[in-house]
Amino acid sequence: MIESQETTEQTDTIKPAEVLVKWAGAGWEALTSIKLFLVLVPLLLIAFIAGTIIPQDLTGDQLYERYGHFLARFLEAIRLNDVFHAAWFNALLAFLGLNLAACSIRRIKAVAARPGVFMAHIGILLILAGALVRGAFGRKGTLPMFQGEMADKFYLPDGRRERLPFQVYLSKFWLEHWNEPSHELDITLRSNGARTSRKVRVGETLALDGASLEVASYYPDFYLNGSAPQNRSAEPRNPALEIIFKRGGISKNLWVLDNFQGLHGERFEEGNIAYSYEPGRIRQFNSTLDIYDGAHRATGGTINVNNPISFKGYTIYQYSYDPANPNYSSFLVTKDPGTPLVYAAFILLSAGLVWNFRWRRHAPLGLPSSLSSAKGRQ
Amino acid sequence: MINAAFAVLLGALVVFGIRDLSGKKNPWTVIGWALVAAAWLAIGVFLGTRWIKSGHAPMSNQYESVIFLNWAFLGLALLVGREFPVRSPGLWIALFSSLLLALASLLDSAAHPLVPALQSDWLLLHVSVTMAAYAALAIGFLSAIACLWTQKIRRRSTDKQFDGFAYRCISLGFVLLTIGIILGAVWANEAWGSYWSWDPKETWSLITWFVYALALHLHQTKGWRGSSFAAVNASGFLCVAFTYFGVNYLMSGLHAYR
Ligand code: HEM
Repeated sequence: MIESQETTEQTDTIKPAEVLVKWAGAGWEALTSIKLFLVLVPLLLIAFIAGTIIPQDLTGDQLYERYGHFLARFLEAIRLNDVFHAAWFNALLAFLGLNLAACSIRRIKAVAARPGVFMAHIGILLILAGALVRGAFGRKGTLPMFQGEMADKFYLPDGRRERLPFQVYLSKFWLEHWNEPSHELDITLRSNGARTSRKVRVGETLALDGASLEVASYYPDFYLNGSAPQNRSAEPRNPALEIIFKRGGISKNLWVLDNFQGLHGERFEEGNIAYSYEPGRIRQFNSTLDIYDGAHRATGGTINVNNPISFKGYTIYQYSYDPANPNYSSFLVTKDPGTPLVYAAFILLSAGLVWNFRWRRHAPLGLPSSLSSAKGRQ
Repeated sequence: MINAAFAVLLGALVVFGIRDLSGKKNPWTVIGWALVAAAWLAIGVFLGTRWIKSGHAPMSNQYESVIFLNWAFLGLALLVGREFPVRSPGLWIALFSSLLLALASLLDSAAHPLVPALQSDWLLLHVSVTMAAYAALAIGFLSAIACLWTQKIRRRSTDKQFDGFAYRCISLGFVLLTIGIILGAVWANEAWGSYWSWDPKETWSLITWFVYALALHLHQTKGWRGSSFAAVNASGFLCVAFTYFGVNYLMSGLHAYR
């Protein structure tokens, strides 16, 4: 009797703490285990694959249209239409981080033996940490501008405007091309029924089946003012060619337009001519920006794709342009205080892996590691 | 030049075939590897002239990168192929390389001027390191296939050398793949405003990377060897193939340069 009383007394007072310790021990054991890693990775792989085969940019209605009511609701419920922002997905990444941290702490004694492995593991942990910083403090939006405009706000993806801690002035925007624009004519003459396609230059005269066609002039932005052809600007918004057609004593002036022609081009008595304007391949688009901090110009320069400009933690990227409006340029504005951390982690990870790599190393090194349990699976 | 390389590789294939069937090592092995070296040189000359002519690193589309991959593959094979523990490793190497060249002939080989996003020195760094990774992983894949072939089809056991060789190849491939992805991330941060966008190409490269991370951990901590290790290794390479080809044709995204 006394014995049993003693035991009950003991369990009453000590058990909760013991259980806690036991649970904490088991939790720690699980967190440090390679088994957790071997479970997390397949789960992550499933998430990644889902995120690439299910379209991630469909709005509610599009989703319903594509998958039907039932499936769409299911996809939405577990956020398979936005995997990479889903809470469960980020929880998986968080567990991977905890797993790595715990495993690195537990194997801290192995640092001397395998410093590269330790560095690589910490590197991945820091990449995850950097991504967390980006999630918490990062900003990304667009800034559409016209030449000569000053701006101090940009648009977040949800349409809200956010103030920048400086002002941006777009002094100049221009496109560079790999090749000059070219003009192509597709001519069918009724006299012989043959069809001819030619690249032509302004001033050139073509001789076809006894007729001559002179490419007399080029109007990049053609319009008719009453009956008088005029040019509105130097930008190729409505490219047109003037062709002087001659056969025998007859001469006729024709206007062929790239934009508003019928399917078969411009018809006239002798046949028809289709004109297409090839704008030339874009080489680069450039914007010259001045950045003002209050009243004085703090920095500035020309940016283009692959050459952004940074100021006060924000980076401005050349993003897009409008082929129809040469004064318009749009920018991407980002802020990510996690980037230095991620870059440091990149260096740590690469250096760790390079350090760890030996071509001549057959078996795993003998390590004071309770984790390396070689079961010899075949 | 590519046709010449292809012809030389077919020659190597015949020579290694004779070596395999006759069971005689000399002189076939030496001739075979000399032909492989000649093909490697020919591809190198092709890439070099294309680089000079176009003014940019010959890695700007799928065709150019496949040719570069082939060059890296043959170069690495010349360095470590002898260690591949099959009777005539050259046969496997020449076969894979000529299949890859045959595949390249199906792609658009025209050289186009670079679009703005590709005009960067990161192009050379990112693509060359990634292709070098794929080359190492491809050799690892061949040894996985050789292992599965020996164990599952011919029902013979494989020795330790098999695992050792495959493990070394994918260790090298993993280091290069990691650096290649990191270079891509840094470039993306310069060109697109974000080091990671979950674009399909990026995501699939991460899938590939995780599969190989899994393979390394299973090998190092769970003692996976033989056909089970070869199976993870081979799945890793299927992911490489999907990232490299499948994504381009089946999924759209920022990386749509073909
Ligand atoms: C994305 C995540 C991870 C990556 C990229 C990674 C990378 C690596 C690499 C490259 C090695 C060296 C393998 C070799 O030498 O062949 C390694 C070894 C190892 N890793 Fe990881 N690791 C990751 C996550 C983890 C986690 C979460 C754990 C712990 C649960 C872990 C535990 C180990 C252990 C025990 C080794 C064995 C070291 C040895 O051979 O002695 N790793 N890891």
